[in-house]
Amino acid sequence: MTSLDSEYIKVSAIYKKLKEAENSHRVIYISGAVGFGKTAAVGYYLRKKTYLLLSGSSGSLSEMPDMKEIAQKTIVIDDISWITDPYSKEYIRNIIRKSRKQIILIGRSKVPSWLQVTSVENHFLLADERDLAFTNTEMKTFLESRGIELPQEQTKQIMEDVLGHPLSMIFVASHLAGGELYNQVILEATRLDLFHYYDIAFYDKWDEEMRQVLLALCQYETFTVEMAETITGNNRIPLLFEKAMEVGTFLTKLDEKNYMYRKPLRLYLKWKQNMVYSEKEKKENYERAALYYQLHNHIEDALYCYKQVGAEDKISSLLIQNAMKHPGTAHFFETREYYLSLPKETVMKSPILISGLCMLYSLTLQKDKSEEWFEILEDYEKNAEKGSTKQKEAKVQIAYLNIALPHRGIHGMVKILMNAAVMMKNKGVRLPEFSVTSNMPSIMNGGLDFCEWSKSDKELAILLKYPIELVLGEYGVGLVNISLAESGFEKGTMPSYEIMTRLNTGYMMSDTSGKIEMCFAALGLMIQEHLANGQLSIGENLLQSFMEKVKIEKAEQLLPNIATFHMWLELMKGNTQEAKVWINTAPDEKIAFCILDRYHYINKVRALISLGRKEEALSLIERLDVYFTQYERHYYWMENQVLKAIILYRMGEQSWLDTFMGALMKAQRYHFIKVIVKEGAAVKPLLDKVTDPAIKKDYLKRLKNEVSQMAVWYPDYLKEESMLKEPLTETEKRILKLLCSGASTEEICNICVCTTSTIKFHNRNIYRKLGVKNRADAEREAVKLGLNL
Amino acid sequence: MNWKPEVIVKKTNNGYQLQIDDDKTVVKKEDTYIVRSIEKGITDDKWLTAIVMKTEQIEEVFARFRLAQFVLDYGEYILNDVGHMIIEP
Repeated sequence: MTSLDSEYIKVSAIYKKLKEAENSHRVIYISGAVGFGKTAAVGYYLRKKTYLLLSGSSGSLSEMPDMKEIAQKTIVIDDISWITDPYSKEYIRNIIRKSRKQIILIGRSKVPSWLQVTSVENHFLLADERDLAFTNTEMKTFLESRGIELPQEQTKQIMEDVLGHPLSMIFVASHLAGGELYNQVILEATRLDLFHYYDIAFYDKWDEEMRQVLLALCQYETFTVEMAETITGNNRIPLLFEKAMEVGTFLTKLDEKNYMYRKPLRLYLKWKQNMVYSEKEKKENYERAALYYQLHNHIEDALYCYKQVGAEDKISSLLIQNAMKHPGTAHFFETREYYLSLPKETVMKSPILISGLCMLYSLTLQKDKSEEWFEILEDYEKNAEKGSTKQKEAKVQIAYLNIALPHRGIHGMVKILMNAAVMMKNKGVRLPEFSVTSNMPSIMNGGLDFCEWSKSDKELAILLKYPIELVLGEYGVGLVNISLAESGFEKGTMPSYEIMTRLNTGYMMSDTSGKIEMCFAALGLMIQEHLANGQLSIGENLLQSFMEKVKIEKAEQLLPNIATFHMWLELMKGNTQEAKVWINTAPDEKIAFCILDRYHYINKVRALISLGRKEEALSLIERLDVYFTQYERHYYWMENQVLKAIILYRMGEQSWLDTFMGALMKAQRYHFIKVIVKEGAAVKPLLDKVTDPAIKKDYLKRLKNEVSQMAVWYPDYLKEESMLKEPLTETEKRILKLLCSGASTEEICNICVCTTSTIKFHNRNIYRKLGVKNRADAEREAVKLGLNL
Repeated sequence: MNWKPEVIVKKTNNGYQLQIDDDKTVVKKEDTYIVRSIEKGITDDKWLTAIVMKTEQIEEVFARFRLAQFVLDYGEYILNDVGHMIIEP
C-alpha cells in the first residue's frame, strides 16, 4: 500500500463515480498524475469488498488468470498506462468484453490508444484529476483528522499552492504536525518531499534514454520535436514523446508543433537536473538550443540562451543580425535587456549596435541618452578609415536615425530625406528598411507625426511621390495615395468616394509591390470612413478578412494592433466584453513604457473609460501626455486631451472645458475634425456646451453635425459599463432625459401622456436605481455614468 | 502651385515679401527665383520642377525635394487645392 492508502479520506467526487460505475455495470477508467490518490481512492471504495488486483507496472500484467477462475466480483487493473505487452492488452480487452465483472482501470494517462475502441464500445465512465483532488472541505477534514486546525487564510493559501493534490496534502500535513503555521518554508519542504517521491514513482520507472531526454528538455518552457532532436542528438524523439504521452500526462502537446511539461513535473526535472548535470552540461544544452532558435529566427529565445552561457560575442552578433533584418525598430524594445547588458566597449565596435542603442533610448523616452549615442555614432563615422565598410555602415545608420528617431519629430525632414537620397544615388547604398507606419493603421500618425504636412497635403503629394518611393523603397509604395486620403479624411474635406478610391489604389499598390503594413494603414482608414458613414458591419468584415490575410502572409507583427482596433470597434457598439479580456493582455505602461505601444495605450484609455475605471484612465493619460508633448505627437496629443476632457466632464470637474478647448484649438489649426468626431456620443455633451468664440462658427457647426450623426449611429460608444444594479427601462430613460433637460413635471406629463402620479412613480424608481434623492443628483449621476441621454 | 487668392506678393529691394492681412513673410534669397516664376504665371509643378532643375543644376528628385521644402516654408500662402489629382501608380 502506498502512503496515500493508509492516510486516505473519502473524496466525494471519485466516490460518486465509482458508485455510479458499479450501479450501472460500467467500466470506469480513472486517470491522474502521480500522487492523485487513484489507487488509494479505489482501495477506500472497495475496503469492505474482495477484489482482484492486477498491475501493469512491469509492462505486462502481473498475472492473467482464466476468466472462469476469477471468484471476485471486482477486478482492478492498476498502472494500465505502462502495459506494452500485446497479450496483456488482449487479455484486458477480453476481460472487459466477456466477463461480467465490475472492472476498474487505473492509469496515469488518458485512455490508451489500444483501449480506445473498447472504451467507446463499452461506454467507459471516465474519472480524472478533477474527481480525485481534495475540495476545500475535504482538505479541512483531512487536516482535522491529523489534529491540525488552521485559520481560513492559511487553508486558502494551502489550496492555492497544492491545488488539492492529495499526496502534497499529506506532506504539508506532516510538516504542520508540530503546530507550525503554513508558510513558504513548509511549501518548499513539501515540494522536496514530492520530488523524492517522484524519484521513485516517476523517474526510476523510465529507461536511461527517456531520462536523458526528460532532463535535457526541462530547461525550456516549450519545445518542438526538431528542437528536442537538436538538443539531445536523439533521432527517436517522436517515438519517445509518443511513449511519454501514452503513459502519463506530464508531457502535453500545445499545438501542431509545440510540447511542454506540466509545471510540477518541470519543477521536479529542473531540481533533478541540478543534481545530475554539471554546469558545463547545462551550458552546452543552452548552446544547442540557442543554435536551434537562431536558425528558426526566434531571436529573443536565442539571446536568452546565449546569455545563460555568457556568450557575449554571440549576443552582439545576433543583435546586429536582428537589426539588419527587421524593419521598423528591430525588436529593440523586446531585446533591450541584451543591448543594455553589453559592455560599452563591445557596443562601440559596431555602428549597428550603437545605432540600436540610440534607437532604444529614444523608444523609452530617454532623449538625452539617445542623442549621446548619436554623437558617439557620428564620432565613429569621423574616425573610421575613409571609404571603409565600417564608415559606410556608420553613414547609413546616421542617415537612418536622422529619419527615424522618434523624439526628433519631423523637423527638417525634407532636407534629411534629400540627404538620404543623395547618399543613395551617389554611393549606391540602401538605407535599412523601416516602417513608416510602425504597424499602426495610419501614415500621418504612424512612425512620426506628419500633421504639419497635412496643411499642404496635395502639393506635397505631387512633389514628393517619386522622391519618397526612392528613399523608402517598398515602404514608399502606395504611401502618397494613402496619406493624401488620410489627410482629406481627417479634415473632412475630401468626398467619401475620393477617399475610398485613393485608399483602394494605395492598398492595391502596396499589396502588389509594397508592404502589408501599408495595406493595414489603408484598411484602417477605410474602416474609419465606413464608420463615419454608419457602416460598422462593413468595417468589421473588412477587418476580419484582413486578419485572415495577415495570418496567411505571416505578418504577425500586425496582429496586436489589429486586435486593439477590433476592441475599439466593439466599443463603438457599446460592447465592453472584449475590452475586459483585451485589457488583461494590453501592455502595462506601469511595468515598462515603450512608445511603440502607443496605439494600445490610447485605446486602453478608451477601454478604461468604458469599464468605469476613470482614475486609471487619467493616470495613463498623464503619462501619455508627457510622451506626446515631448515627442511632438500632435494627433495623439489631441486624442488624449479629448479623452481626458470626457473623463473630467463625467467626474463633474470644471477643468474639462479648458482641456477640451485646448484640443479643439489645436484641431482647428490643422482643420482636423475626425479627431473630435470619432469620439461621437462620448464627446457630444461636451461639444454642446462649447460657446467660446475662439472656435470658429463654421468649424464648430461642422463638428456638431458630424458628432450628432455619430452619436445616433453609435449611441453606446464609451458608455460606462453600467454601475446600476438595476438598469433603467426605456420609459425611465426618456423621463430622465426630460428631467435633465429642465422640463417641469407638467411638461413631462404632457409629453409622455401620463398622469402626475405616474411620473412620480417613475421618478422614484429612477432615483432609487441611480442611488440619488433629487433631480439635480439624478442628472449628475447620469452624466457620471455616461448615460448618453 | 499658386498663391491663395488673398495673398499679396510685394516686390522689395531685397526680393519678395508675402502677405495675408497682417501676417508677412520675407522670402529667402535662395527662393526668390521660384516666387518670380510663380509671379510670371508658371504654376504647373512639372514646369517649376524643370526650372529648379535648370537653375540649381540638380536632378529631378532633388528638385522635387527642393520645391517640397518651399511649400513647407511658405505653406500658409500657397493654395492647397489642385482639384482632383490623379496620383499615378
